[in-house]
This record gives sequence, C-alpha cells and structure tokens, in this order.
Amino acid sequence: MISSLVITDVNSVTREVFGNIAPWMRVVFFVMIAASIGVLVWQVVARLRLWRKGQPGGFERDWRVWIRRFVVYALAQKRVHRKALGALLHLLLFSGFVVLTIGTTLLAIAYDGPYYFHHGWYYLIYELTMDVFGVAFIVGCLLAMYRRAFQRKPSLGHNKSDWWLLGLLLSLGITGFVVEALRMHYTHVQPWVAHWSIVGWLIDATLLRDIDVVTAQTMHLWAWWLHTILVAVFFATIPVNRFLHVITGPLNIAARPERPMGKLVPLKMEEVERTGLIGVSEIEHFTRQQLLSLDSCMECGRCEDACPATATGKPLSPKAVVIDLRGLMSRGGELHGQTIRAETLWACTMCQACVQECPVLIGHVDLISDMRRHLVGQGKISGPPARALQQINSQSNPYGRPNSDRLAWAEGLDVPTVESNPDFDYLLWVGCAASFDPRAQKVARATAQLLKEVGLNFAVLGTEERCTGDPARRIGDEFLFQQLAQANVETLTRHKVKKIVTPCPHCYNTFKNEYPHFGGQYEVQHHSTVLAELVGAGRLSNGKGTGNGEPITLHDPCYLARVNGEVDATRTVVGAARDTQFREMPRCGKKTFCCGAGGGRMWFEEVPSQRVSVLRSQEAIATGARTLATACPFCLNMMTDGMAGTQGGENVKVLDIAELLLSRQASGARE
Amino acid sequence: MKVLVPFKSVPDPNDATVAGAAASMPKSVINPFDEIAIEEALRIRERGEAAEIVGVTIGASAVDEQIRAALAMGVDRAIRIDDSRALDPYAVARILRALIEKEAPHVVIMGKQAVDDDSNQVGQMLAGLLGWPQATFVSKIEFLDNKTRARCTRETDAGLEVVAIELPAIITTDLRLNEPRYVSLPGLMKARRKPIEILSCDQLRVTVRPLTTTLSTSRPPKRAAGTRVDSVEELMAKLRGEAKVL
Repeated sequence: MISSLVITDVNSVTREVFGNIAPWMRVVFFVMIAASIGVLVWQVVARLRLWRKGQPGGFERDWRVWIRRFVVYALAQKRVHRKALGALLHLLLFSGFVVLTIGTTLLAIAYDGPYYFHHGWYYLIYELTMDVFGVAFIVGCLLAMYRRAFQRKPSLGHNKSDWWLLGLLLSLGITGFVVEALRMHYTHVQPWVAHWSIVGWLIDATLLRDIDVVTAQTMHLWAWWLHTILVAVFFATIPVNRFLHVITGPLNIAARPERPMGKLVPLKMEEVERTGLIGVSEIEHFTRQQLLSLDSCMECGRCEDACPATATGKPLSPKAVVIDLRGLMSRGGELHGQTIRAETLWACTMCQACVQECPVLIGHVDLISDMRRHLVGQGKISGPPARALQQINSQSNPYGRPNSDRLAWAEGLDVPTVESNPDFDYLLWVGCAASFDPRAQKVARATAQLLKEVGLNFAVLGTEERCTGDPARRIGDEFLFQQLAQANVETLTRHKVKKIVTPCPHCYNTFKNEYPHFGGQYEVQHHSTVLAELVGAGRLSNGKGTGNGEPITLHDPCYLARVNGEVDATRTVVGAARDTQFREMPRCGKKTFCCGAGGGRMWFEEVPSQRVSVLRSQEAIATGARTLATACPFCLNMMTDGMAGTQGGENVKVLDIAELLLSRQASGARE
Repeated sequence: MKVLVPFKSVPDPNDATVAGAAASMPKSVINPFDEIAIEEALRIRERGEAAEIVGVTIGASAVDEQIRAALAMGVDRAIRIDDSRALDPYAVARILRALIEKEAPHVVIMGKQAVDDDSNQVGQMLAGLLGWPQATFVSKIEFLDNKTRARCTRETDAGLEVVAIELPAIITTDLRLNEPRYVSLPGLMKARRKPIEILSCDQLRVTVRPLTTTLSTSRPPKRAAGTRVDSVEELMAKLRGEAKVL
C-alpha cells in the first residue's frame, strides 16, 4: 500500500490525495460538495432576487472606491478592530477561514489540474501554513464560545443557532486535524517532513502512537467522511446563519454609495409627483443597495452599543431595525406600525454613532430617514415636532419667534450687518438657536465680541437669515428643507457671501454637505476653527490653563466631531494641550456621545428618565470637571438641562467654547 | 356616518409680526380649535366610524389655501360659502344651519372658538337654531348604540363632565381633544386634485345681516420689564412689600 521509503530529496516530498478513499467515494464526495455549493448559490440567488425588488440604483459606481473600501473594511477590517476580544476572535476566524478555504481550493486544483505542484518546499510551507491557520480557526471558535458563554453581552444576541454554528466550525477544525494526523500515521511520514504539519504530527505522536495502520486507515475513513459532511452542511447553511456576511458584507462594503455622513439623499419633487411616493412605506421602496445592506448585517450589536436611544431605554435599536426590515424582506408583512413603530423612528437622534460603528457600512440613519419621510408625508406627526415644522414654515425658525427679532441677541453690541458692512469677508451665520434661545444668545454675543475684538471683517444677515432647514430635513420634511435651502442660497448669493462662520454645528454641516446640491458653495467654518486659528495666530489668548485652575472637560458635538471630523479646534480653543486640569471623557472626539438633541429630537417631548443628556452629564461629572465646554447651542441647551437633572451637576458650569474664550481675554471684553 | 366640520381661517397665532394692525397682513391658518375638530373627524374615520368628512368654511377665494390644508389633512371634500363680508357669530350660525339642512350630517364637530375674536358662540347658536343637542369644550368623543348617541367628556372649570347626547348633534372641541397631524408640502400638492364646491348665501337661501359691528381694534399695552431677584427671601419681600399680593 503506502511505502515508508526514506526520502531525502526535498522535491519529492508530497502527500497522498484521496489515497484512502475509494473511487466511488470520491464521486460521492464531489457530488456532495457540488450539491452543497449549489444550495449555497441557489439561496444567495434567492436573496439577490429579493434585493432586486428594491428601487434601482443606489450603488457606488466608482470601482476605485470599491477596491479601497474592500481593502480597508473587508480585508483589514478597520471597524472590527475596535473591540479587543471581538477583534481578536474575528481575526482568527477570518484568517483561518480564508486561508483554509484557499488552501483546500489549491489542493483541488493540484489534484485535478494538469500540473501537479503539490510537492517540495511548496508542500512543506503549505502544510505549515494550513496547520497554523487551522489552529487560529479553532482558537477563534473557542474564544467566540467563551464570549457567548461567559460575557453574554445582550447586544450580541444569543440564539441556539449561534451555538450550532460555532459547534459546526469547531468540529470542522478539529476533524480536519484528526484526518491529517490519521493520514500521517498510516502513511508513515518521516519526522523531518511530519514536523512541518505540526499539529497533525503532535496528535500522531501522542494520541495515535499505539494504533496500528489498519485501524488508523479505518478511523481515517470515518473521520474523513465526517469532515466532508460537515463541510457540505457548512456551505449549504451559510445563507441562513450569521455566516452569510462573508458574502454580503464585502458586497455591501463595496456597494454602499460614497456620500458624506452629514448628507441625506435629496428627493425630487417631480419624482414624488410622478410616483406619488414620498419616503419609504414598503420594503420595496428602499434602494437595492439598502436591501443588500440588510442582509450584510451579522448582528454583532456594535450599533446598539453606541446608540443613545438604546442606552436610555427608548424603543429603538439600530440593530433591531435592520433585523426587522430583513425579516420583512424575507417574510412579507406591513412595514409601518407592524414591523417598525413610529416611536422607534422618532427615537433616533441621527447622531450617526451606529453608522460609524458598523463594520459592514450599513446606513441605519438613511433607513430611518427614509421611513420618517413617509410618516411626515402622511401627516403622521403631531405635537411639538409638528409645531416646530409649522413654525419653520411660517416663521422660518423652529422656535416660532418673529423673524424681526433675529437680532435681539445683539442688542447693545453694534454688530455689523450686511447692510452696514456690505464688504464683509466673513458672514457670521448665527443660526436659530443662538438667535432665539435665551441661553444660546450668549454664545452669539460671545462669538461676535471675539470677532470684533480681533477686528475680523464680518457681518450678520439679521432678519434675512432663515433656518437652514436641518431640523426639517432630519425630522423628515424634505421639501420644507428644500424650500429653505433655495431661499437661503438665493439670499447668500445676493449678498455675495463666500466665507461663512457659524457657532452651530448643524448649520455648519448643512452648508458644508447639503447646500452644494442646491448650488450653494461656500467656505464654511465652524466658529471653533476660526477661534482656534485666531488663538494659533496669537490674536486671542486661551489663557494659561482654565484661568481659575478648575478641572474642565469637553463635549464634542456629533455634527462637528463625528460627522465632520473636527476635534482639534475646540481643544485648541479651551487650551487642552497645556492645561493639566483638562480631562477627556471616555467617549470623546469622533467617538463622542450624543446630547440627545439631534435628528429633530430637540423638539420632541422626552420622559425625564429617558434623557440622553443625563447619561452624558454623569459621564462628564465623573471626570471631576467643574466646567463642561461644548461648541453647539443645542448641546449647550441639553447639557445644561442634563446637569440640572443629575446629581453633582449643580457644581458643573456648561459653557460654549466662545464664552469660555471670551472670559479668558485680558482686554476686559467680557460682559 | 357623515361628519361635517366647519372651520375658520384666522391670522397665524404664531406670527407675532402683526397683532391686530392692518399694516401687513399675517399669514392665515385654520383656526387651531377647528384643526383639532378636523383631526378628530379623521380619527373617527380611521376607526371606521365615519364614511365621509365634509369641510366647510366661509370666505372669499383667499381662504382656499386653508381649504387645501384641510383637504391635505384628509377631509374628503370641501365647501366654501363665498362671502367676503365680516360676519358675526349669529350670521355664521345661520349660514351654517342652511348648509347643514342641505348636507344632513350625523354629527358636526367644530372648534369651541376662533382664536381671532374668541367669541365662542357659533357652536351653541347653531345647536339652538337647529334644535340639536350640543356638547361643548369636548376632550373625548365616543359613539354609542350603533352611533345613535355620543358620550362626550367636557373640560369645565370644575373638572371633567361626561355627557351623553343624541345624534345628530353639535360638538365643539377643547384643546385637549387631540394633537392635529402635520401637513407637508407634497400632501398639499396632492390636495389640489380634490374638489372644492363653491356656494353662495343666495343658493342656500339665507340672508344675513350683522347684529354686531367692530368699532376699533388696538394693541395690548407693552409689558414693563420684570426684575430679577437673587433669593427666595428677596422674592418674598418684594411680593409682600411692592406687589402686595401676600
């Protein structure tokens, strides 16, 4: 049968393929594997048919984007690596799975192909590689089991099928090694060759030492069949378990359209008039890419962990939205009310934390925005948010104040307007909050005072300013937003505005990411970056430390930090680098945590126990800070409320960075 | 069941640019209490208890914008009684009586008052003219006995009063009845296709002349600035010493 010749020539080193397997068994093997892959393909095609029911388009077209994203998110898995244990076990499973699949495929090519290359140094390195990654795969399975058995994090989700899958994967790995060891045993592989198949050799040398060749061959046959059947079951069941993401994940990663996080998809009025549809009322109204994205979710729960609505007990989990919509796509049913409740959609602050976390680039906020648009289009919105929309419509601001009061904040400051100073360089876009909210008005005052102090050539629009439309767009009234966008672009064009500075991150985001679509191209800066530049140039002083030596922390606004990546300017303004008393919160920078006001939530009633701002206040208080600096009038409002409702919050001052900076100027510009 | 909702076009109460002065006319909206009445009619229809909702208003073509808003909310059809005169509550009630006799609804739901003149009379006068039962300031409506009667919860100064009325009847709405839905731009555009029937007082065979006339309107006096106190003690002292309310 198999000889035990002593081989000394490296080139002749190889292994038998199907040596112990009778020809009819090989036929059964190939038929089984082919059938299994057939089932896999058939089921994936069935999913593909479901995706095709969606609206055409919505895919990224630039192949360079596909490749870049594939490398960054599918191969390097940038977003998986954010959680230590999860990242490690995923890396082990992923690399093991990929290498073992490629290795087995290579073996099949070598066996069936015209040129037999499975020998010599190639073979030795092959064996070592397969063994190392086989171990990685098994360790990955064990870590995943450990996580499920002992950590039991709820956001991960725990079903019996998860244990079946992990058990299947682990058995695949173990039987693979057992088959190897048995083959090595009965083929009497010489030690120096056997050492390259390190795991098989170890098993052979310990467990199989006393087994005779015939028993080993019989055992090998049984183990081989078991391994083969497991492989067949594995491939055939991929589409019905979490493993589907190995196919759909990379597809969605490549296919998701490239669009700034801060830009929602514009609707066209002609489209709405033609189709009679606004937003998404049925699953087929999502784009094909969105439907694909539902299937790319493997339910890791990172979105849920980051979600401020979930954290405060609201009826929203971004993960549940995706899973529920996927169930609807597969099984049918009614979308609104039955599958997704209105309260779920309204609970979203559109802070984009889920979107930032998702390893396969699912756009949860776009899904929610599309469904909100339907609710608003149907008039299924009432109470304070409906009133805010009405007031944006009638008064051009969500506060319902007459636009003639737009300059009330500037009383006694002699702020230049576009009439008094038509040759301005910067337009100071105040925003509705800083114009009308009594607390936020002080931010407008502080900003204007600082700009005046350094002699910046700026002006404000005064009564010609309108809401940018951000709250309308995010609540779901797209056409109210578009009305405002067009009116504002017209006003800005009339005054030849080129540079805009604004203390509101939402206005900033809208100008930067959403107005270009409506013909508004501006150099827009958030006041933090302008103030940071002035500090950097030595024209404003950020003091030595906080001035009073008290601990200070910073709350990054979502639409400044996460959505637009600006995290340094605010820190420059508060003097974080040189201030030994500056303390970061655990969730800071781009990984900031929402204050609760985004997505139009500013105008929703909130049960006190469900206030996001209270959670965030607790986090800030825990740093020991006596001052919480922020850079958004809405954050300012929410965090002031949050501190008022949190134990220990009464000792913490909530200030905008402009107010803080003004208080540190030596010139006595303070009010 | 057929529900008839009369509604009035009033200056937008959110628009503070004009208060009574005629220099620049503020935007008009559906009287908020009437909007609540429309919303209630829609909810009754959504519960399957009403088959048709008819909206009615009186005015010149300028009020068509508010009719569109009512249609966009979901009113099935609308009637405008073309009359641009300044009508007092009695005149309005008589015109509405003529229309109700023509339309024969099972129930009329309307705002308890309009926010422009705050008369709070049309509903009551209408019930009187028709000889129908009425439930005013209602915060909850339930239909009973195969929709021959209604149980209405009234908001009174003394508390909640529950009354049962025979239909047909007049129901006037309180603020707490519901929160009206929002009308978006596409909804308004869709409503353009719904019909508006235009009738005149002549066609209804009703002649009205005002019993009251408005002599003048004036702004309320400007409020004096308040003062800020630093402590509860100071507040108490001021309430006792200056305001003399304690």
